[in-house]
Parts: sequence; C-alpha cells; structure tokens
Amino acid sequence: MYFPGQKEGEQVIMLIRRHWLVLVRQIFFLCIAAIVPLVVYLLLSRYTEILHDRTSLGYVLVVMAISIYALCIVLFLFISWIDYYLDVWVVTKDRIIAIEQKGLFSRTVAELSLDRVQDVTSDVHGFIATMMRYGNIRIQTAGEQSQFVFEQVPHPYETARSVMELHAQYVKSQTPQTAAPTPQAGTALGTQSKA
Amino acid sequence: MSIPYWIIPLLYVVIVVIVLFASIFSFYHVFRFAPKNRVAQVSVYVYTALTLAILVWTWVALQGVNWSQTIDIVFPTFS
Repeated sequence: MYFPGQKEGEQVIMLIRRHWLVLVRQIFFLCIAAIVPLVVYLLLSRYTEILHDRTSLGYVLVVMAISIYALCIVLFLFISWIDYYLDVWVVTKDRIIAIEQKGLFSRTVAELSLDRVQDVTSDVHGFIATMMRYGNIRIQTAGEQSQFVFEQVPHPYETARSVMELHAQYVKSQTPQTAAPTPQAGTALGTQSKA
Repeated sequence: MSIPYWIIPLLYVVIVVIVLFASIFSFYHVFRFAPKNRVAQVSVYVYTALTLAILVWTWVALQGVNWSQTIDIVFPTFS
C-alpha cells in the first residue's frame, strides 16, 4: 500500500478514507443536475421545432448550451471525487499522517509520531451516521497541532481502539529494556556444598 | 447590426478551454498525489472518456451548420 511521503520499508497499518456515503451525499445533487440536459433535449425535440432545423440559430445555441452544461457537470463530479479520494489518513507503525485535499489548489499534510498521542476519542452523531457506522476520531497530541481529527470515517470505535493499541505498542518498543540485577560483593550465588 | 455566426463557436471554444485547464489541474493532483493508485487512474480515464464523448456529440450535432451566415440584430425603435 503506497501513500505520498512514504518512507522506505515503512509498513502501512491502516489507510482510512471518509465513508462512501459522504461522497454520495456530495454528488447526489450533481447527478440529478446531470439528467437535466437530457430531459431538456428530449422535451425540445418532442414539443418544439428548434432541434429539427440545423441551420437555425436556436438549434446551435441549444446544442452548445447543453454541451457546456454537461462538461461542467462532469468536471464538478470529477473534482468532488478527487476531493473525497485524496483525503486520507494513514496509520503506520511509527506515525499518523493526515492528508487533506481542499479543492484543487489547497492541500494540507500533517504528521504525528505515535509516541505523541495522548488521548483518542471517537464520536458518532446522527441517525444516518449511527446506522451506517461512521463518525469522527479525535486524537489529542503533544505536538504543535493539538488535535488530529479523522472526519466521517467508517468504524470509528474500532479504529480509535486500534490507534491506542498501536500507540501502546510503539511506546513499549521505544522503552529501553532494564538490565538484569548484578550480584553484590560477598554474597554467594547458588549453593555451596557443606563439608 | 449583424454579427458573424462563428462568434458563437468561438465563445464555446473559450469555455471548453477553461474546462480543459481545470481538468489538467485535476489530472496533476491525481498523478502527483496518487501515482500508484489504480482506482484514481481509472477515474481519470473515465472522466476523459466522458469529456471526449460530450465533445464528439457536440461536433456531430453541429454538422451541416452554415457558419458563414450572419445574425441580424434588430434593435427596437420607439416612436
């Protein structure tokens, strides 16, 4: 699994995107609007004479208007898809990376080491979010950015638990092992056979 | 006052060029930030196919139009 900025040999544990329902809600009205030129074309061809005379100005204007409208709708659909798909939260064994695409000309990348995780909270609000099991995860950090937020991600409770477990594992792996106690002088170890 | 017919496709071409520029920016984001992502690449192909289909439909629909004619604009007169 690859993400931008991935280090060599870095293992990705989770790659999280927003729930698919978020994209559907964004593009729902665009999809409805995409049907409009088809309906207009059918109505005009059935009830008017505009589309029957190719030499008329009305025909040219209608065709071009439908074409421009359709191009814009398809473009907005694609931009909405990119905005959804390029928003990603990556959890590796060492760090958390939050990549947020805002439109076409704005992108934010934030990185957090797992040992700076202080608290992980998950919340689900609303009927649809509860039924579809998506919500927000807030990670309280000890870094410059005090809070990382995973927005509208699927299975927030399980994901939050996984992040806490990864944090615990990372901290444990970074803690130096304590050395075994050395014997004091004059103290015999083991048993000595008595004569 | 009469204006040439070809003004209309000229305006259309200007708008299409703007849409194509926005498309190029979108492709840039996909290929820079998700270069190895198969889903993202397929989405680019689908978008390109849809755009080409619309442009081809427009071109076919406008076949037979006489672009050398002019549009006569008549201003209303008030007496």
